[in-house]
Amino acid sequence: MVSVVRGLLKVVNEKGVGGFIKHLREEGYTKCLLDGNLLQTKLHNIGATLVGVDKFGNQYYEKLDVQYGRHRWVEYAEKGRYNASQVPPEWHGWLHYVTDHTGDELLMLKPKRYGVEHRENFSGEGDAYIYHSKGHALNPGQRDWTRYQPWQPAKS
Amino acid sequence: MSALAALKMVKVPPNSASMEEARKQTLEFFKMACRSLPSVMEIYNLDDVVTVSQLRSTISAQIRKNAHIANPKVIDLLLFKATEELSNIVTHSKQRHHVIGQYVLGHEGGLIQDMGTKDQGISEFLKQFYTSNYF
Amino acid sequence: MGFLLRSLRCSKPLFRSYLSHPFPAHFRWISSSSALLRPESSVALAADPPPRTPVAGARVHIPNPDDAIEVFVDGYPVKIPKGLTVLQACEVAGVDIPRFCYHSRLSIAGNCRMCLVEVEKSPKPVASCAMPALPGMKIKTSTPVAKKAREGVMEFLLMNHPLDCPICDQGGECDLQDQSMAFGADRGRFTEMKRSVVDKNLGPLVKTVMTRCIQCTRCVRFATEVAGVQDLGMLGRGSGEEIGTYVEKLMTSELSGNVIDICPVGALTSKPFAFKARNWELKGTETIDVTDAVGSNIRIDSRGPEVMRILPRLNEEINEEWISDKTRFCYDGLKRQRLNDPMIRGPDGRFKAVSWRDALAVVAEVAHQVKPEEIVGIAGQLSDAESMMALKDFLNKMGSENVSCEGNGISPNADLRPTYLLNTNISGLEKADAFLLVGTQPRLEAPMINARIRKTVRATQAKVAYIGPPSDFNYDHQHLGTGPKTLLDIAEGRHPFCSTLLSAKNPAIIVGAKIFERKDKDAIFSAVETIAKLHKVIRADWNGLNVLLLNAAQAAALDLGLVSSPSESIRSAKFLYLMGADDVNLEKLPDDAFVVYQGHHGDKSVYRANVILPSSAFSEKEGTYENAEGCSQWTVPAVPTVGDARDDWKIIRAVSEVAGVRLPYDNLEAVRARIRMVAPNLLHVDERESSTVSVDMKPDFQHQMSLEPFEAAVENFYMTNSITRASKIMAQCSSMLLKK
Repeated sequence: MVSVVRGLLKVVNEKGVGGFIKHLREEGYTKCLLDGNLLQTKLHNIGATLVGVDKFGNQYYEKLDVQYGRHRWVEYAEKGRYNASQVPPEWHGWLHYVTDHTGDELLMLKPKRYGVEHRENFSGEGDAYIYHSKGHALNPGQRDWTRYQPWQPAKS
Repeated sequence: MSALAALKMVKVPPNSASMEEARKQTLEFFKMACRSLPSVMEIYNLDDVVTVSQLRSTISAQIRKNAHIANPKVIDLLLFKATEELSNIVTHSKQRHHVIGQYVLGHEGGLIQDMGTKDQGISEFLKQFYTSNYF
Repeated sequence: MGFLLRSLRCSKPLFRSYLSHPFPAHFRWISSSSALLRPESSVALAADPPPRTPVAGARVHIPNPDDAIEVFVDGYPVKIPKGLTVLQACEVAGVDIPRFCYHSRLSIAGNCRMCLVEVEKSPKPVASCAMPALPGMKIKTSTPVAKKAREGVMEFLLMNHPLDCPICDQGGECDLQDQSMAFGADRGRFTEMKRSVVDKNLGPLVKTVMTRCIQCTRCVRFATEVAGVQDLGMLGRGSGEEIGTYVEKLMTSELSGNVIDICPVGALTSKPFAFKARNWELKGTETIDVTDAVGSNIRIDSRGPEVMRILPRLNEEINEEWISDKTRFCYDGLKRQRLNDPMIRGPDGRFKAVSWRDALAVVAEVAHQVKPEEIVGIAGQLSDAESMMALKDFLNKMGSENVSCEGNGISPNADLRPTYLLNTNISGLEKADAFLLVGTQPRLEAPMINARIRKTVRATQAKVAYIGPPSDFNYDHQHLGTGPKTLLDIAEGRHPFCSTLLSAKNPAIIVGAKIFERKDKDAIFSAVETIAKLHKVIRADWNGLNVLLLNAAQAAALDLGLVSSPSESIRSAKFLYLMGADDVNLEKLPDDAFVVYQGHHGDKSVYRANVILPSSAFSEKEGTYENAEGCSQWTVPAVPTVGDARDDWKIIRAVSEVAGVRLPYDNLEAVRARIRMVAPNLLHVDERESSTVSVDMKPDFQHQMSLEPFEAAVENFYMTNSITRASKIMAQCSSMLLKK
């Protein structure tokens, strides 16, 4: 507890009172009052090790002296509408105890030439991914069934 | 308007006793069809092909084609068939190319030929020639 | 239990003979049994089988009855002429012998050993393709010994053959696949590593997967014997043996595509066709080729609306079983640069797609605004006879006589049919023993005719003399000169070649069609006729005076009387109707002339056109074409037309109605009835009508012969018409293979 107060005072010293309030808002402490989930995460964070931060800003924590199976967690970068699909695949394995390699280590194995960027699930947000079968009017990759190439008069 | 709401409106009118009643029912049908057009546009994804007003004029043209009919029973029958067709369209019982082929292309003389005055006096060969290579 | 087993063992031989007797070819025990090990057990089976029909219509012609010998194939006696091989005797007897290296048009190699048969009193099975049949020979083709020998050969062949049929383009039409199903064992005993061979680069047409090669050497023999190029050969011995070009080199033959057909496995396949389709998906349409004047018989294999490949069809009179690379690989041109909508050039010089109704109305209106003599029609080199008939009738009804066909030169003389045909016939060239080629390069103009000449030269050492620009020949020839001067020398009997011609039994003179375009063509032809007269080229039983036409449409155009001279009439033309004519020189055309282009490809002339009417290509329509020897043949539509295109004669028929001069035919039969009135020979399909008039009837011309040398007719073999010019494969060929 003392260390927490000391840390707070240090931040206030560095940023001033206005900067401190701004910092609180950015880090989601203001939302903690309404979001118990976030509050609990924040409380857990005290004394835990920050293992890594992914490219979206999600922070991954580990604390080995808590109950086994609950010792890794994430604090989402998005403090308001966070959801599990915001975790990129390279961190997924670490977070779910599939592997002990952190996401930063796994990123080095990522092939350069292919592999699409991670995208969170936008369902319900107006940008849902809907599969359209081949031949559907909305499928952008519709096959072109013309088997000949017409002469283009513009080239003359 | 959702497709379901449009579907509820598509119902077969009762028999009409006189020409006035038949006329009223025809107008009712036309209104009903026009009201269902936005959902038709949506479910068949016709926005890049046709506009609502074009479809509306297609419907009115189809109705006007039978303007000469004076028997209310015949009009009732035609209305019955029209209602059936409309409900088929609204319930997505057709596919996109059906709608385009029958009501969008046919409108401009693509698939359904308008046998206007232009083709009068030309031979059967030329008529067929304008339609297709294979005859 | 023991009783049951013993009874089964006792009944097995009986059961087996009962089963194997009615279906000797289809039902065999797979495991090697005691009966297979004992050859004498076959004697019991060899009861006289019913006579069979010969394989693939094989016929024997026995000119001299004394030369006939009799052999017994499976106990059935056949009479064959002396000198036939055992394999041919079996074919006559109706027994198909499996083979890989043997090909009836190539020399005998005898190295695949698949055709082993048993001959009585011979200690070992003999390779039937290389063994001459002797009188009284008793040949046994389905005895256990023969079967076991084939099975063993097949096992050896498959040892080093990759098991990649699922990804092999030959799969489904592979001789090795079929014959291993019919004659091979069901398992192999080979457990070592298979060998692999580096693929060779043979150019843009032939794809090689040399690991699949079984060293039958058919391609080597084809290249040296038929194609006449020494490109391919065998390297190495034993398991290191491989087919290849000795140094890194492309195969530069105009017949190279045929090695794809003769390769019994998937070692040589078509590069443009690779991985495009399977042969069982394709629909074959038997039609003819129009890229040159030979009219090779082809089969167009199509899938849906797309031509997938072109294969040769057997016609002994015309192309035997080969076709040229241009014929075989031009098909991708049918899918590119196609005209699919009628178009009108607007005032801003841009084309706009319009409906047929509007396009025809514009054409008809302009046609009536000009004077009749200012209307000119030119048929292109790919036009069929029906459309040329319609074009001529249409223009004549409009009051114009200016109808011609490109390539026929200045006021062609179509009065005597033998003056523009290959009178000897293509197959007749094999009887000739001296050739005089005047201004023609048959290797570029008509590769199939060149192959016949080469075949003759190879078989009979016929002498070939050539007058014309320096050219590439694939057989021995004398280059006598480049211009008409040499011709005059021969005509006047001063030239040393005259003695060869005089001593020849059947001399043949072949004149190139490029000479039609010279101003002094009458003088040249009279010089040629003088030579013919001097050396007895034309006799009652032999007509050796030939003209080798260039294009598929030329002969039919001359028969139908499309005989104005395009270069002169173009100068005063106000309304020019081009029916696929892309090689006419439009520079002299007045600027205010109205040009209608009716054709299937956006090629040269389209850029000058005012109205474009899309028509169908030869693969999409039914049409009559007459080849260089005057034999008319029909094309058959293989695929539907593209876009809004119409058949050629239908377009002209429709234009004529819109223009108010309606042509009296509404269907193809009616057009052909009209053709019957003009040129009945065009309807006699697959017949050659020998001429009844002699060249002597031709009036004498006294023109001055100019001494300028003959020109080459074909500059780029791979690009001669609108289809081949649109083809990507042909463009690749001309950039890679024609490098000097």
